[in-house]
Amino acid sequence: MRSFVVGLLLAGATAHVASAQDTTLIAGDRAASAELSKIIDGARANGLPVEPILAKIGYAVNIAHAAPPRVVAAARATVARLQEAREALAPNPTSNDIAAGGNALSAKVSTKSLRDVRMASGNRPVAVPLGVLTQLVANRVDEEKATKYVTDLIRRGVTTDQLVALGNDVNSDIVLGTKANNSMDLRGSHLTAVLGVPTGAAATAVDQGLQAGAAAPPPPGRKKP
Amino acid sequence: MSNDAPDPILDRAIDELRRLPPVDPVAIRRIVDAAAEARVTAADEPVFVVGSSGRSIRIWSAIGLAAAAAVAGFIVRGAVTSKTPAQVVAQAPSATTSESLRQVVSSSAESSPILQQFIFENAHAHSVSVVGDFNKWDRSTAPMQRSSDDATWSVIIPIVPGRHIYGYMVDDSLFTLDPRAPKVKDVDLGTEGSVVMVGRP
Repeated sequence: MRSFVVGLLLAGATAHVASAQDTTLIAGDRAASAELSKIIDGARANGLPVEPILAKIGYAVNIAHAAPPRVVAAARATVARLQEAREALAPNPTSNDIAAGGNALSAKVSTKSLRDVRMASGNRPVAVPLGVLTQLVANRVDEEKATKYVTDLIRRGVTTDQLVALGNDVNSDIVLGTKANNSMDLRGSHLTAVLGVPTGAAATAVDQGLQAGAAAPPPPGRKKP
Repeated sequence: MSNDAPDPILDRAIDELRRLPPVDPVAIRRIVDAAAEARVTAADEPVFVVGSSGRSIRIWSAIGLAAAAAVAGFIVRGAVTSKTPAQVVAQAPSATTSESLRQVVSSSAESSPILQQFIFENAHAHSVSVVGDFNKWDRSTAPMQRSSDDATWSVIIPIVPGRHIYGYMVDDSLFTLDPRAPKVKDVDLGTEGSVVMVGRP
């Protein structure tokens, strides 16, 4: 019943209903609900996407069954990450970009990596590259290495499905016992070779990235199953 | 000096100007005839013959139709593209025009939702739904359908490209991770979720 009430109220908040209705985001706790309502309204007024905040509240209440103060703290932390992500992904990130940046920060990806991805991507959406980078880092690939591969591949014109496939391949390798960094080098260098050499300014940028990057990839150290 | 006082010089000038020169009726007739000859009628327009049926269309009519179609096209395109869920507000920084257009089109396509299938095995469940950050963990939005083998549940839902956290809600109360997917711990709450990367198929 509690979940049902929260679901209804979250749907209402999404539809930009009046703040009076937002004040019951958590059934039975008016103070926490009012606080959440303030957080959502503040984020909205600040131009941040509220969907990730509502999703966090939904997760905290429906899945984690967190106590109201923890729900409020989680919502606050989400807003802070969204704010930080928006600044790192300036000048004109989309809502999806900001949400992906917030998720990346929650996985301990640095704002420098966010800026690097933005710089490599130009004005294109970065939600998928950031998602792949986040998953690579979550899989214990060194952040610097993962960022270098992702940005180099972007400059070589990688498609989003190729990036997603790279992330999934690395994940599969790790599940089968390959060390994360070895898998990253193997899969990343293969995709780099497939994409070929970029031209013009992109080539210069990639060259600079390669000079600053690691040495040639060693063979993968896959364990026997 | 008062403004109402008559000015004899001014009055004389006005009087002179009021006297029009005599009109030559022959000259007027010549001008009217020349204008009549120069008038363009519908029959004078160049004609395109269209198709084997011999239907014809006049060139100025065609240009007018083309202009109207272009305007209508812009209006329709604006209406359609304004409905795309993800807004791309960035401008191309220093690319050529064709590159800018390509990037904007590509950006729009990259941000639009993609149909993603979820499959879950549970022979004993009475109901299963997908919950995740894409539906605010609301179990009512993506109920799964049981397949003919009575053990496999599936659903296809639109999700924007990117990395998403999700799980399955079994019998409306038991949150279950996807055994096929990588797991991630929520940094704020410490609980786990499954991870899916959504990209173009």
